[in-house]
Amino acid sequence: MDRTDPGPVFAALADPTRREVVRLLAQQPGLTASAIAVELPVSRQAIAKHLAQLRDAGLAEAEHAGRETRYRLTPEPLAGAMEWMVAAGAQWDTRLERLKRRL
Amino acid sequence: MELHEAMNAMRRETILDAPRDAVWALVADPEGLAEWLADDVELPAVEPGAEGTVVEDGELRHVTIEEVEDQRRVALSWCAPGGEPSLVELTLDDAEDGRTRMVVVEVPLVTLRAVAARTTYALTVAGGGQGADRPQMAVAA
Repeated sequence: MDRTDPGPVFAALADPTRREVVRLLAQQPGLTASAIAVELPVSRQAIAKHLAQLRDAGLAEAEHAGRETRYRLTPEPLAGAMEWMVAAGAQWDTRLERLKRRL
Repeated sequence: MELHEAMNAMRRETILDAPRDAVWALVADPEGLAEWLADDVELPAVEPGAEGTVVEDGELRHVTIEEVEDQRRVALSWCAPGGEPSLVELTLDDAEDGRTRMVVVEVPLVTLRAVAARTTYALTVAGGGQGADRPQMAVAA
């Protein structure tokens, strides 16, 4: 994935359930889809779908351990999304300062 | 969690020491925008569908005015070459003592597409709406 393009990361994190999945994986690396489904009011199938989307965005990876598939975060792409937000915020601070001086 | 955080949007809120019509004059007019938004603003008008460019720190962006609500709100989309297109909403409200509250929300378009089919609704949710009539998006705490 192109690390300079935060698009897929924003899309992946736009969904509240996926953000909950990210939060759980951050607290407990190596959770299975079933274990995540226990924590959230969502079916295991739905969790599997969300995990696939997080993997597509480069935010999570699967690890096969016997018959289980365990998931952990690979948060590097988050840096691109955070950089966008920090940069956009800094630009608006500058613009709003100019506006205040003008008024 | 604030709604703009839920949407991965950039949000700024500031109180401007001027009445709303004075601020609006600098928001709803290309020459007004040129005073603060960027170093150079080339737009035929601030009205829906108007297209042009802004240049800031030597970087050019293509701009389209998306929506205008008189004295209250301007929504525009912009994109730097090779960059991520985003939607910007500037919303004005009366604040105390004749001052004006300005809320700026900037959201990558990809986020909006993922969150809501209608950009207008998504923008309202992201931060433009104020008060009890503000639509609420279900967000896991």
